[in-house]
Amino acid sequence: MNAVADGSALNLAELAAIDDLALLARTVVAPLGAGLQHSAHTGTSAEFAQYRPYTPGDDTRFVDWKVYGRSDRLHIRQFTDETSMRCTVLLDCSGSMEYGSGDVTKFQYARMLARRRPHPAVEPTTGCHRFRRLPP
Amino acid sequence: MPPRGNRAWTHRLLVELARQVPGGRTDTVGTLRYVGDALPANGIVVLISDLLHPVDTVIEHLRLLRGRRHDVLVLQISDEAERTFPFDRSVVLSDLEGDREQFAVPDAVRAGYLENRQRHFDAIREACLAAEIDIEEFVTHEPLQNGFRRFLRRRQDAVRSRRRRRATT
Repeated sequence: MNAVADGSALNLAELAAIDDLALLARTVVAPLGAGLQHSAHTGTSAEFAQYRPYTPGDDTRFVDWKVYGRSDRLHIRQFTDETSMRCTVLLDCSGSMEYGSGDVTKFQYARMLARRRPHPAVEPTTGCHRFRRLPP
Repeated sequence: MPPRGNRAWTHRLLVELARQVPGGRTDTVGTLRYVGDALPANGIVVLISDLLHPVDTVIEHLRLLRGRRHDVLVLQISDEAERTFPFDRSVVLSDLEGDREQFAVPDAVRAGYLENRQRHFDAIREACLAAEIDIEEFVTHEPLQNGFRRFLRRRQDAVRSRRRRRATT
């Protein structure tokens, strides 16, 4: 068994297996993660959202000329925007997490979870708050 | 640490995690209140904790996070000895977040302890499920992926049943 750096008894093969779960998660979890969340605002993705009448100052690249040909009115094509999902991890660092009757303490285990994408559908581009007491 | 998308930041995050040493008292409620106020709505909040806190206040703040349209996940960390209380000789139990110590005869306190523990976590679990908050217990004696598999399976079922419920209403 290959012990990982922080002294856990989990071997590397077991940890590596979680990457496969990430693939599974992408298919079963509701849309989460970078670029998968539809924003309330319109933007520049490939997915068409709606038409709206042209107003001076709009980017003419988005004018739909076919609609103009049919209706003689200028319309702008709008697309849905996509934003990155913000994932916040709250890691309990209180004294009770120090307990461990086996090879790893609760804190070491929790830290491994936090490090290994606590939400398997989320890319490891998250922030992390550890807490005992936060500053006021 | 705020979120960033680059490798250097991920490295800093890992270093910061490695530096952390547990200790002191928990203030989960204060943390959840701060997070609820400070974070923009509509994200994912993952709480990794042993959940040894007063039930009502923690649930109330988790519900507030749901109210701000966060997808809230609670990963409960338990130790096997906490779940079974396997001691067979008299023990001195020390409070890791204070300075209290309590002498205990395992056979005399085991049943009451396990019952209280079960009641505590049942209350948290029921309140979480009612608020559409996913909760999963991870036991430190089992490999990480076992907990993840259970979590994903349970979440898949929960997401399906929520969709069905919304479709019928």
